[in-house]
Amino acid sequence: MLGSIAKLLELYPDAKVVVEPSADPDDYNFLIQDQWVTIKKDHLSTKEKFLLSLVSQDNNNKSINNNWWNFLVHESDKIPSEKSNVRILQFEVQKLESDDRAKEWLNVFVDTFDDVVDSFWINKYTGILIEKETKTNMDKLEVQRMIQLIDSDFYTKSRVYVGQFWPINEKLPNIFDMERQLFHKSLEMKDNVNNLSTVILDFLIEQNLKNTDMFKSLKKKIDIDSKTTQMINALYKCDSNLTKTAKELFLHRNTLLYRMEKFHEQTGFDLKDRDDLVLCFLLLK
Amino acid sequence: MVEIDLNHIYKRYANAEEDNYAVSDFDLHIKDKEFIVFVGPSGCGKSTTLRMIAGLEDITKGELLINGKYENDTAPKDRDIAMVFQNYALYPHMTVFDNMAFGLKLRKYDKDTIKTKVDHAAKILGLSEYLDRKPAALSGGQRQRVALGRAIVRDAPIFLMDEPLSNLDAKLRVTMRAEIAKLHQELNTTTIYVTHDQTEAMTMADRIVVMSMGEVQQIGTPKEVYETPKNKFVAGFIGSPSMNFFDVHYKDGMVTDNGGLNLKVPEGRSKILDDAGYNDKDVTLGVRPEDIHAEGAMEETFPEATVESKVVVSELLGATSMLYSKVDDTEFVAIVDARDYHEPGATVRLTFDLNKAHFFDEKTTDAIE
Ligand SMILES: Nc1ncnc2c1ncn2[C@@H]1O[C@H](COP(=O)(O)OP(=O)(O)OP(=O)(O)O)[C@@H](O)[C@H]1O
Ligand SMILES: [Mg+2]
Repeated sequence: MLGSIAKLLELYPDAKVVVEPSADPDDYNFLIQDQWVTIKKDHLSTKEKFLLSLVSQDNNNKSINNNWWNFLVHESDKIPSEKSNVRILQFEVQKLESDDRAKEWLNVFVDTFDDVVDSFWINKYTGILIEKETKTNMDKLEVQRMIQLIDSDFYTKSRVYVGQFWPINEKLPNIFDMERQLFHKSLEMKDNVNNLSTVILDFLIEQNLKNTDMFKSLKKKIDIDSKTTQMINALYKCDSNLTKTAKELFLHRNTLLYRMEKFHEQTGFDLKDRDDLVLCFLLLK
Repeated sequence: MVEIDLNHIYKRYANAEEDNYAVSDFDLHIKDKEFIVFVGPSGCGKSTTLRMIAGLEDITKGELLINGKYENDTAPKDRDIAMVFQNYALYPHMTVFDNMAFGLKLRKYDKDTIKTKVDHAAKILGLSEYLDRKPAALSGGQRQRVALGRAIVRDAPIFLMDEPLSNLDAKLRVTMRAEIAKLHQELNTTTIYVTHDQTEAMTMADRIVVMSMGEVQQIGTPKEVYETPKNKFVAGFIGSPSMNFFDVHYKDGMVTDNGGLNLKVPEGRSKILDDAGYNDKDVTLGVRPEDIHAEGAMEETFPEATVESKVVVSELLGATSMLYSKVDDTEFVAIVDARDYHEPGATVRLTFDLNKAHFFDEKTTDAIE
């Protein structure tokens, strides 16, 4: 195993063996053979982080003696007896002052939901809340508001991935595997509260496209500057409505049209065409 | 007494590419009790900058000084800062009192101190009668006031507000704007207020920081950024409706475009252009809608800056009216006296007051001064 760490350090030259896990939120910590290793998060893909989280001993997973957790991570086949559908909210909380504060934080978070089945920390920063489906579940925006509120009282910086509602059966652990990966991906996104809809594009691109030579070459060839980035984002956001887009960009409509034509000439992609626009939007990811 | 220095601050998010800074070279000295407004379009880096001051985002490069002390690495809870966010959510199951008191309870203040602080804040905000109510029994404005109250009880000398009014309807926004201004005078806090609404910036700020794409475009009083914008972006962003821009050719004291404009530039202004070496060059001409006139008196003063134009769309707005007009292919907006209202299709003679015009370098978009 020591050999594996050496090999790992070779593959990731900036990885470090450390005495204690780094508190820097930009670092990713994991425990191998009772040694802490830390790597800068931005040097890892979502997939790699997910894999590491599985092999790392850190998870304290073993010490989490919770029926739900054991079921969700395939440790136990015992299906929790719960009739209604549930959704799983995964959260990461940075800048908590102490373990006591972490407890209080979770209590306050739980209190904002109507019908919580279970909630627990799975390590120092991350935790799980399982909520029943009712008629009054909070939507993503409402969760975001509550998180902002709690963060302002605790001086924390939190992120939440709001899962979908699922029936509780033997498929749920597999679904949860996927939701965990989506949660990991969501930690890199701009908004602090995400769900399947907000993460899926970034996730798929990273999984399937981002590191392909085609995608990389295309990106290089087009060489999108920040003005063009803004234009493409705005067009996408405004559903290709030129008047709205021009307003959003504080441009005259004709100036916008001129820039789109210039882009067309230079790259061959016509931003007025829906498919071309979507492709360019994906290239920005 | 607090002063804040942001010295050449940069922010790059962990997942961003090498040279992709969300904020670059942000440099600002904030004076005690000043009301600073960050304004700019979506994604320009306003919140990122604010969150770096609050300690919620790390500063990639540069230094943050509060009262001369280096604060880059201070934990958020240890910075004497209160923050008000965009969403005025409250804990639904807690009373107004408890909502305001909660942060203090977490900080282990004793009961009496908490009561004094909450009562004081409630009095300032006119909420004393509502302290026992739950949020559901409050109006939108009252809820927003409780959100402010949650910040006031902290007695922090620095207030950071990130678009606190953006979720309110237009009428309430105007009331709350006045309320926040009043609050600032009463509490004497140093305040940084983020908005993408230039009207909000113009009416509330001591000084405005106009941002675009992560970079500061101009810092100045509302009057300064309005009257002497440093570049075309600031000129177009500040003021409503926006400044009209014309791509023109300047030669021997005249500006012309392909679309039918042919205007004489007053001597004082043409001298500036000549001295800066712009004779016989393409420049961008900027004229605010209120500097285009329909009265005959103006035409007498500036006969060579008058054009015959066609009204495309017109709106009557009380004392003034807006004429969206066209000269050949050149479109622009004029705000004129209500008496000079014209129906679409009408032909009007409009005079450009080029003494108040702005000229920008066509390539750099910097103002020519
Ligand atoms: N957590 C994050 N991770 C990665 N990039 C981010 C993150 N937060 C913001 N950004 C990016 O940084 C830039 C500045 O964003 P910021 O939120 O500061 O803008 P803003 O001026 O507050 O915009 P808005 O008016 O939309 O709130 C944007 O390009 C944004 O996508
Ligand atoms: Mg923002």
